[in-house]
This record gives sequence, C-alpha cells and structure tokens, in this order.
Amino acid sequence: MTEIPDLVADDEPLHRRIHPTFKKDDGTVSSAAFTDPEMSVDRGSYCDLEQTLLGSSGYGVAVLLTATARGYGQEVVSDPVLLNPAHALVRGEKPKSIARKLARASMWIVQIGDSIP
Amino acid sequence: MPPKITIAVEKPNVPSGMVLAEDAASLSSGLHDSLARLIQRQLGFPWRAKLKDQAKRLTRVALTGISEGSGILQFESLPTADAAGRSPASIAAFDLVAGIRAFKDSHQWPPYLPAIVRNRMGAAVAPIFNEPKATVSIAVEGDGFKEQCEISAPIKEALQTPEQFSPEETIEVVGTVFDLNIRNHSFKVDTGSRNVTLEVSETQFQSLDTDSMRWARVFVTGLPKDGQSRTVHGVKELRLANAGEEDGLNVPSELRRGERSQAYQEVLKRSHDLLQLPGGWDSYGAESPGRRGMVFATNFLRDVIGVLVDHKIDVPTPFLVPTATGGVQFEWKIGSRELELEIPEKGRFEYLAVDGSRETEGEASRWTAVRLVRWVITGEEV
Repeated sequence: MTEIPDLVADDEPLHRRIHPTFKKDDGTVSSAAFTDPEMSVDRGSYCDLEQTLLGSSGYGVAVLLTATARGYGQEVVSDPVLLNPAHALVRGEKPKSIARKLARASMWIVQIGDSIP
Repeated sequence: MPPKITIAVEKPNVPSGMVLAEDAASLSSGLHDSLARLIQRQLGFPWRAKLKDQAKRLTRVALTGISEGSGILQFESLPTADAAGRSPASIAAFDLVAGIRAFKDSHQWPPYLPAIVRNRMGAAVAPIFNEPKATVSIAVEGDGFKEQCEISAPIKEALQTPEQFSPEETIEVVGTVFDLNIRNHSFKVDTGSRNVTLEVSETQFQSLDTDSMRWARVFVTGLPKDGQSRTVHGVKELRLANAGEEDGLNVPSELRRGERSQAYQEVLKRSHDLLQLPGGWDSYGAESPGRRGMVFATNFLRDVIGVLVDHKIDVPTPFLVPTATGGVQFEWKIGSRELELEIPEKGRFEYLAVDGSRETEGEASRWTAVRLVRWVITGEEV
C-alpha cells in the first residue's frame, strides 16, 4: 500500500464529489459547491474514484489542483480519517468571489451520471 | 454632483423668482410622496398598500433652493445607507418624468406609473392650476441621465383621473374591520390608504360578527361594485388576514403578474424539487433548504419579474441552487455580466456581481438586490 505523505504537494489533484443539483445547464459547476470553509476533498493521487464515489451514485467528481487552491489563499492540509486516509481539507474563508474562482478552476473528472473512466 | 430634480413653475401674477409658499409646500410633499410610492413599487411591493418604512427611508430628497430669475424649486436626491449606486429617489424621479412625458406622446399611462402615484402628483400640482394659464415643468438630471416633462392643465386632469377597476376582475381587500351594519349586512375595512365598504351575505355577516373577527384584520376577495372600488360585493373569501398579508387593496392578477413568466414557473418547479433534499444531501453535511427562505426567494423573483415586465424587460430563468447552509442562490450569466444572488434566509441578500474582470460582492438590501437583477439583464447601472 502506498504511504501517503503528510504534506500535500502543489501538483496533487484534489477530488470533490458534486451533487447533480450543482450542475448548471451549461455543464459548469455552481460556486455553491465550493463554499465550505473546511472543504472536504480526496487526494486524487492516493485515492481512486470508486472510493470517492462510494455510496454516492449519481454524483460527479470535480478535480482541482492543489496549487490553484493555494493560489486563492486556501490552505490545503492532509486530514486522514479512519476509512479515508487520503482525505484532505481545503481550509479558508470562501467568499463568493473565491468560491466562484474555485468552481471555474475545477474540471469534471466524472460527469454527473457517467460511469468512472 | 448629486442628482437634481427641478420643478419650474410659471404662474401669472406671481413675481419672477418667487414660488407661493402654498404651491411650494404642495409640490414638495407631492413629489416626495410620489417618489416614495414609486420606490415601493420598484421594491416589488404592492403599491396600493400602506407605504412601507423601507420605501420611506429610501426617499431622501432635500429642497435645496429656489433659484433666481423664475419660479424654480430645486431638489437634490441624497444618498441612503440602504442603496448602493444610483439614489432610489433619482431613479424614481426619472420614472415619474418619463412616464408623464410618455403619456403626453401616446395618451396612455405606462404600467410603471401606477394611478396611486399619478393621483398624488396630480393633487400636488392642482393648486398651481387655480391660474389656468400656469405651467409646471419637471426636469431630472444626474448619473449621466437627463429627462424632462411639462404638465399643462389637460395633463393635470389626466394625472388626477382616479383609477378605474373592472367590475369583473376580483380584488383583494386587506385591513381592519369597522362600522358593521347589521341591517344591510355590510361593514367597512380600513386598508391604510382608504376605506372600502364590503357587502356580504347574511351568512358571511354572521361569520364576521364574532368576537374573533369583529374588529380584526381581515382578508376579503370580491368584485368592485363601482369603478373606484369604494364598495365591493360578490364576496368569495372572508377570513382573518395572515401576518404576511399587508393592508391594502390589490388586483391579484396585477400583483402577481410575474407568476405568468416562464422564469418564475421554471424556478418554482425547481424549488419544489429542491425542498425535497434531505439533510446532508451533498454528501458533505449540507443542510436542507429552508422552506421560509425558499418561499421568500421565489416570491422575490416573482415580484422583481413584475417590476421589470412593466419596463418591458424580460427576465431570463436564473439557475436556482441550494447552499450548504440551508439557503438558496440565483445565478444569471448574460454576456460578460454574472450575478450570484444568495438568500441565506428570509429577508437577507448576499451577492457577487462580475462584469468581465470587475467583481463586487457583499450584503445587499432588497433595493440593491432588485437593481442588481436589472443590471445583470440590461447592463443598466445599479
């Protein structure tokens, strides 16, 4: 099993589950999905998509680069939990302008309703 | 430069450079009341209802002088804490002047200038016209806009013409019951701005003549018996008024004109779906959308659509999304303009407005929220 470093590297992809309600008609994600001051994500280099979507069928997954989140003043810290050692937090206040930037910087890695590639 | 409103009075037998005190008083209070009513209307509230404190607070107009050389009253619109951008009084004054000018051209009153405003302005200028050759002109200038209109005796008459209600269109009357008349089964309702007589059946009168309803606030629907709705008959609904139903007299089809729009219908349908979301619906512990906030949000949208429809502005359907804290957010993207208008709970607004590379965000009053929706659709300055 790969050992997960404590430090989240700038080039690590961060995966966040996206409820179908957040998907806009033009296919983009609403900023409302990125407002939590302690936003849970999975470290994509150490957690496969099946794990991220476990028990959440019908959801999509958006990917965001750690460096991008840090560039918007967010702290990205490892936060392993019992059943998810790759869990991390994107920590920091997210006023609307930051939430919008995070939403715009994220990309679908699993579209709503699609199967995992 | 603050926006200026200038009322020039030409009245025979009054020396140049002077305005009679009685005329100045009537014009000042009439202008203030008309602007306050227009602001209430632009807030999306029923304009025949009692004037709201919110509208009064936004109507900040000062009489700054009487200029030399002719009878000219000068007013300035003052900034208010509740409104970002252009002053509400200035915007209302443009509507007032543009509406009167539109009537002069087309002999039809535009929908954005309701009778309650016209009548008030008509009453304000009426004393001037005790000299039939008098004229009044109103000019508004500021924020890069300029508009002017003239009021002659025929226009004054048109302004004073009372509102005509259709005898076939149901109206709603909300207010306090008084003056019960057991002989002819009628009673009066004080709506705040006028009294209305209600004629009801014997059974309806008996239901009213009880301890719980006798002097209470009631909600009544019926048909106008006369063109001015002094008396209402054919009463269909008679019950105690809810706290959310404000005193006043309304035509439901007019009050809820935004309900006919595609944008409102689509948002309403989605709001019903969103209200089914359970706690933790986003898999990260999000709260369910609150029903009170959702109803407030959809009613706000309906009311804004109504205001904008009167200005022939179509409102595209916004994206309605729940927030993790139990609120909801409207999102529009039109050209380079984007607006996120969040309603975290009933009565509160937070926004992000983006125009190309420019961003502003913060809390908004209801006035600013309405103006932001108008901005994102038309590009018109907030």
